[in-house]
Order: sequence, then structure tokens, then C-alpha cells
Amino acid sequence: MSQQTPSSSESVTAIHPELTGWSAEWRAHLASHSVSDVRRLGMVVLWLGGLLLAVRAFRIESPAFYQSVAPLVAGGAIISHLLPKRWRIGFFALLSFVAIWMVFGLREGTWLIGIGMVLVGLCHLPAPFWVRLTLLLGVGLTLGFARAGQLQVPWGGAAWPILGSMFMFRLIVYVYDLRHMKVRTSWSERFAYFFCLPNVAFPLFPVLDFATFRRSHYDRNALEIYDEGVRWIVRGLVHLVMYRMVYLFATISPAQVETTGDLMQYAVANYALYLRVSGQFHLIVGLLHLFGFRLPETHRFFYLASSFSDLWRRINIYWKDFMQKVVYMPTLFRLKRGHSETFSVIMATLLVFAVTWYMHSYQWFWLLGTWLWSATDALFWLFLATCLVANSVWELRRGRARMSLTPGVSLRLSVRHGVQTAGMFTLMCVLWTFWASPTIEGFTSMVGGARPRAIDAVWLLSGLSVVAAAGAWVHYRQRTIFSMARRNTTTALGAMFLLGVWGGTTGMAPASVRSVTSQLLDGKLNKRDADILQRGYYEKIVGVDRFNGELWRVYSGRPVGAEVFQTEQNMRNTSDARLDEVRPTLDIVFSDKPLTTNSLGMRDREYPVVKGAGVFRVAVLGQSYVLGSGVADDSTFDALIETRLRAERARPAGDIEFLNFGVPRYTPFQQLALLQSERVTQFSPDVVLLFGHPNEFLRSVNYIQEMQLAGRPLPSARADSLLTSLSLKPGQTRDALTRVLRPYIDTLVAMAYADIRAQILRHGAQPVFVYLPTPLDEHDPALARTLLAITRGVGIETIDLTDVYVGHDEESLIVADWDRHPNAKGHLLIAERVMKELRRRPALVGLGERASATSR
Amino acid sequence: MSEPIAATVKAYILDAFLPGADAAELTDDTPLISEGILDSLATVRLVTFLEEHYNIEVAAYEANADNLDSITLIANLVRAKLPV
Repeated sequence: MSQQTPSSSESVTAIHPELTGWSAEWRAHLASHSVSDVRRLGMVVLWLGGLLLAVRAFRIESPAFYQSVAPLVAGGAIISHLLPKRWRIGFFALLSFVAIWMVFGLREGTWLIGIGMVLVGLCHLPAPFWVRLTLLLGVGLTLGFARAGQLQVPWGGAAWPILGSMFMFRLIVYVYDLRHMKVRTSWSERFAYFFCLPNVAFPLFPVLDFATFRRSHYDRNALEIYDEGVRWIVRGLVHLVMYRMVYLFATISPAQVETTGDLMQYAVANYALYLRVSGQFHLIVGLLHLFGFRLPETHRFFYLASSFSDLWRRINIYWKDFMQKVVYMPTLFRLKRGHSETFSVIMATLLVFAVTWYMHSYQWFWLLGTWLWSATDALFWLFLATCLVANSVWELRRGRARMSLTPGVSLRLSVRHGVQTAGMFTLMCVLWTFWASPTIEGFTSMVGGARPRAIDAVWLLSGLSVVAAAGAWVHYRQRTIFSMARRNTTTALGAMFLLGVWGGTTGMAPASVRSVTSQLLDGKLNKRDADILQRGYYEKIVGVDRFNGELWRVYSGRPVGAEVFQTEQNMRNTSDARLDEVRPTLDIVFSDKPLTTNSLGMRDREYPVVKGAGVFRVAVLGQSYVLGSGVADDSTFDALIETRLRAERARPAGDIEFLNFGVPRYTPFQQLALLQSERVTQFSPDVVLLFGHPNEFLRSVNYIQEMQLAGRPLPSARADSLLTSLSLKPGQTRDALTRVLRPYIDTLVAMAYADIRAQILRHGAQPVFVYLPTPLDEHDPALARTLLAITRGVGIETIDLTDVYVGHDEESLIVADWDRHPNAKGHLLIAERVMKELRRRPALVGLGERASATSR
Repeated sequence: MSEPIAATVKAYILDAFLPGADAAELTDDTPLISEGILDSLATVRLVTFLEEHYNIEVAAYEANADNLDSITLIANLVRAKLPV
């Protein structure tokens, strides 16, 4: 695309003398587009439209991004291009402010922008440099105290990670440039740099260099820059979807590591989780390209690095450039004047890693609010520093092969490179695993506890051969792999991959494919509870919104009133094995719906303990979805069933009552304790419906851990004696406990259900197990099969509601984006399905001729 | 020091960092930093060479892409530092 020139502007004013100033400039800019430019621009717009749909379909990262920031970026980029070049940077800054207000609201957003403006303003006070620096340090320190909670501030906690992200590093770079840069910069450039549009939705942001940010702005043909941006966005989305694949299908918790094969899976999956950072960085830099910022490529084939230096140059080059600019070069230049080159390089590299280690903790502080000081973290950086120093000294003495202009690459060299790549990949997987471990003991116990298997050696060799082959191929084809044609092909392949995954969720795909792919579209990644997965630095820091409730609320658009149910106001501790219960006589509004409990803490009306003549009672036990979290009192599925059956006079022999004993997070063990307390059986139920959920096993592990750590016996005597026979050591870590418990969890849950059955039968009622997933849950058939087999195995009749939501848009069945409990429509669906199942079993609930026989 | 600065710099880069490379492929505008020809170590070595060869002093903040990303930029930097 040709840029507007003075001559074209002059020619427009010559033809239209009434046009002067901005209108002439604008018309000249538009007139400067050739037909081919317009065609290419059209292609970019088409790509943008497609990518916007993809971002939305895959719910990329947070609702704040895919609902607000992404459409703003797409629309803004088109408008930006239509503006004359000199207006674009100001427009970008303005758009960045708008994005902040859109995500944070007017009040919080204005605070964020205001504090930022003060910081930028301090940099430009008409005072000596040292005065400005001192003032900045003072304000920074004050903000630090406030971030640590030592000072009260009038803005909310959600703003901190974004404020930190915008200023914690960029201010350092900016002050450095301010000191040395001789060019005058405009306020638009300054605001565009600090409030940088995509930053509001991505707390972990590349450390942008101010000089590069300015220099790269439309330094090439605009359409070429946009094309590159589109490529990077596609690449970023592919990385993010691949990250979800790893997260959903490959990650395991340390407690699940039993064999060397598990250990390999754990290590590789952990390292692969870094794809999320790489994906986000590609996406961010790609978005900035759409506004003309031709920023450097990042994370280029980083999994195929062949040495530590190579990795350092590939992985996060924004960090590398930042360190090189403010630490490495100044140190090296100072040292090299009085010391040997080798000594200077070693000292400068060590200092870079010491600063990197500190800065990672500093970043953790601004994003998460606490300091990160762990032995594994310190050792990880020390080890990396040592390796990089050794690598640098080697390169100083032997030189580094630079591929870019060398005439050809021999196959032998490429094979050697491939072997080095495989070695480096292995080492990084081990190091990453170490880094992810909260303690050295946790790491050694996991590695030491892995049972070797011969087959794993085959897997290891096969895996390494694949990595080595990929490394060798990339090395061998280095000259051609980055050609424009190949880049376009790669982008098209990436788009096809995204389209393929999305296509797998549509009705055209087989059900088995749909169940897998639909999880990839789900940004919530609910396969496992976050607390059982041991995840590393980046998993925590890149998902900062998950660990900052207020930011999560802002990002998900979650209203302030939509609090979680499990608070002290709604729940209370008990001294028995139930651990907690719902408070009696609650009368609150929860998720904008009335929520009341009776004098026994049941989400139900008051019932006389003595059953009326001819009344058939069904007790319903389960977790929060049985309680009816997020729906009104009269919309819970048990209430709907009761109302419907009564209206239909479905039971000729007498009335029917459904008693709701649902309590959030209750495991089968707590249900057993509830039954043992006679709170249920005192009402003489005829049938007890036990609702089970896919999270049953995980919750049971957590519950047993809780009881073990508290030194309390389980409510199931048999399960308790099995635990005793396992000789659990006091003071064992949660992971170690989980590892011991995992092989026995099916047995332990089965024992709980056997005792539940006995308890119910003892009181003359009949137990029925109902498997019910919540909407948008992963429908893991294995989990359902296991739970149904366990309950059936102990003699409980079962009902399988795995497919209760099939044929319905599950999105429309949840309370909200941030709350996946079934909504009123979901409860209605469940109620209808349960009634259908009950009608198919007339002997069970007395819906029909045998009603009088079962009623007591 | 009578030879043109660009030619001297090019010869040094080819000799020090690109042995065996086709000299014709390294033009005065080939991006040196973004193409990976000049990494941090190579940058320091190049600066040391420039300082010694032209008897000039280059500051740490000047060792960046603004000044060193191409032979043309390097020549401009040296020229600006040489006594008139």
C-alpha cells in the first residue's frame, strides 16, 4: 500500500480547493490506495472477521477479551488504517483507554488510567533526571505497599494486575530510554506504549521496548504488517487450542505419577503447558501488528532449541531484549574495559539471571499480590544461569554457527542438531518439572516413587526420535521454511486446524468426536479442580484472573452480587463427619433468585417428621445442583417433580413428597454421615435418590485427605480400616497422600456406597443412585461407567442421566458464564427426565398400581 | 583507515560471524540483529572492533538495533563519532 504523500495531498486540494487541513489529508490518504491495495485490505478484513468468529467460538482466554477487546481491536484496526498515518498513534492510545473503560467500568478504569498518567507525568516533570527518578521510586514503593495490602486505596483489587502489568517493566525500559534517547516523543506515543490496547485483557504481557515500539510503527508497507499480524494471530490461536488439548487430555497431577511412563507424561505435559504463554504472546503481538506495530517475532520453534543459548534466543525474546538492554550490555560494557572478555561475559550473564530470578518474583508480586520465594525457583534459575554461562563460554571460544546467510546445510550437521535438540528438550522437561514442584522433596518423592517399566523405555526412545527428527528437519530446511509461500501455507493450515476443531463440535460430527472437541471450545477447562493440579509459574501467572477473584469477576463480566454460596453466612461447620452443613432458616437472594432453607437447613418447605397417611416420601441427596444453586426455590428439579406429580395426581394411592437434602460439595462419605445422623431417615423416606456427579472421586480424595490431616475417622468403618491398613504417615503432603489413595479410591467410594445402602435399607427405604452430570461438564464415559458399576456392584439400583442434555444447547442451560450450575431450564430438563425414568420403574416410587405396596 | 567504513564493517562481519557465507548475500541493508547474525556476544565483539579500529567509544545504550541493525546504520554511527 502506498502511504499518503505531500504531493497527493496537494493534488487533492488543487482539485477541491474547499478541502483544507485534515479533510484534505484524509482524502489524500484514501486516494493513495490502489485497486490492488484495496483488494489486499479486503482480504485482511475477511481474515479479521474469521478470526473474530474463532476467538468467540473458542472463547479465547476470557469474556473480557472475546466479548469486548477483540471486537474493539478488529473494528479499531480498520478505522485506524483509514486514518492518515500521523493520527493513528493517537487513535490507538484513545482506543486503549476505551478498552480499559469497557473492561473495568468507568470508575475503576478511570482510576487505572489516572494512576498511569501520574506515573508517565512524573517521567516528564521539568526537573533533573535524579529528582524524577526519586519521585518515581517513591510512588512505586507506595503503590507496592498498597498492593501488599498495607495501605488502603480507593480502587478495587482487580485493577492491580493490569496496572502492574502495564508499568512494572515498561516503566524501567521507558526511564532507561528517557535517559538516553535524543528524540522527542509525543504524549500519544507515551500513552499508546503504556496503556497498550490488548494489555487490559492479558495481565502477562510481553515486555515491550519503547524504542522498538516507536521505530517499528509502520516502518514497512502497512499491508505487509497486517498480513504478518494475521499470521501471528492464527499461530497464537493454534497454540492456545493445542494448550487446551494438553491441559484436557495429557496433564496429570503429581499424585497420579506411579510409573516412569506417568512421569514422562507429567514432565512433557507440564512443559507443553507453556504453549499458553506462547499463544498469548503471538496473539498480543499479532493484534499490535494490526495497528502497524511491527514488533519482533517471539517463541520461534522454542521447543526445538538445541542449546540453552538457543532457547534463550528463541523463547521469550522480549524478555531477552529487555535484559540485554538494561542489564547485560551496561554490565558488559563496563566490565570489558578492565577485564577479559570471558570474565565480563560470565559476570554479565550471571547478573542477568539473578535479575531475571528477582524480576519473576517481582512480576508475581504485582500480578498475584505475594512474593514468590521458593527453593525450586531459585535453583531452577541458578541451573539455567550455569548452563547458559557454560554455553556462552563455549560459543566465545568455538563460535556459533549462523544459518541465515550460510550457503547450505549438510545432512550430517542437521542430524547432529536433531540429537542436540532431543537432549535439550529432555533436559527442559526435567527442569520444568522441577520448577513446577513447590518443594524439592515433592519433586524427589515423585521422581523416586515412579515405578520403572520396560515399555516406557520404548516410549522414551520413540518420543525423543520424533523430537530429534523435527529438530533436524527444521535445521535442514531453515532457509526455506520461513519463505513467504510457506508462511501463507502454514497460516492456511492453522486456520484449517481451527476450523476442523470447530467443525468437530457441530451436529455433522459423530457424538464421540463432538464430546472431545466441544471441550476444546470451552475456555473454562473444568476437567480437574485447579487445586489438585500442580502447575508451574506460568500456569499461575498467565491465568492470574483465576487466582484473583476480583479480576476474574471483571473479566467474566460477573456481577458483584453473584457471590459463591459456600460462605460463612450460608454454611456452618459441624462436629461430625459431614464437616459442614447449610445454615437453617436462610432467607437470601442468591444469583438474583430467592433461596430459603427450612429449620433443618434443607432447601425445602417444612415437613412434619411423621409422614401423613398414604404419603410417599422421596429423599433427594446430592451436591449443589441438587440444592438448586442459582435457581429459585420453586425451580429446583425436586420441587418441579413434586409439583408436577401432585398436579397430575400421579400416585392414586396418596400424596408424594420430595425432600431436598442437597448440600454443596457433599461426597458419598458425607452423605453417609448425613444418613447416620438420622436427619434423613427420621422422615421415613420410601426411596432415597442419591445423585452422583463426575467429580465424585476427586472430591472423595480431598475429603479423605481432610479427615486424615485432621486425624478424624471416616464415617465408613470399613473404609477407615482400609485406610489404617495403608499405614499413612502423619504429616504426609497432600500429593503423597493422594498418590497412596489413588489406587484405592474406587474401593473406598464403593465401601461408602455399601454403607449408604445398608443404612437406607435398615430404615426400610430403597436406595437409588442417579448419575447426573452438570451442563458443559466433560462427559467422560469411563467416569460414569465406573460410578454406575460401583453403585450397582454394591446392590443399589441405578439411573444413568449421562445424556440428559443431549440435543440441547448446553450453554443455554447454565446459570451464567461464571456459574455452570443448571439454570431453571436445566432443572426443568432434569425434572422431566427423572420423572420419565421413575415412570419406567413403577415399582420404585409408587407411580401406579404398586404404590400402596411400597408405602408405609 | 582510508577504505570505506561499510566495506570494513562488512569484511569484519563476514570474517567473524559468517565464515563461508556468500558475501553477495550480505548487503548494506541486511538486518543484522533481527536476522540473528548479531546476537549479544557478537554485538559486543563488533563494538570492540569498531572502538579499536576507529578509535572511538560506543556506549552500552548505543549498542542496539537503532544503530547496529545494518551495515549502513553501523557506518552512520561510526561516521558520527569520527572527528570531522
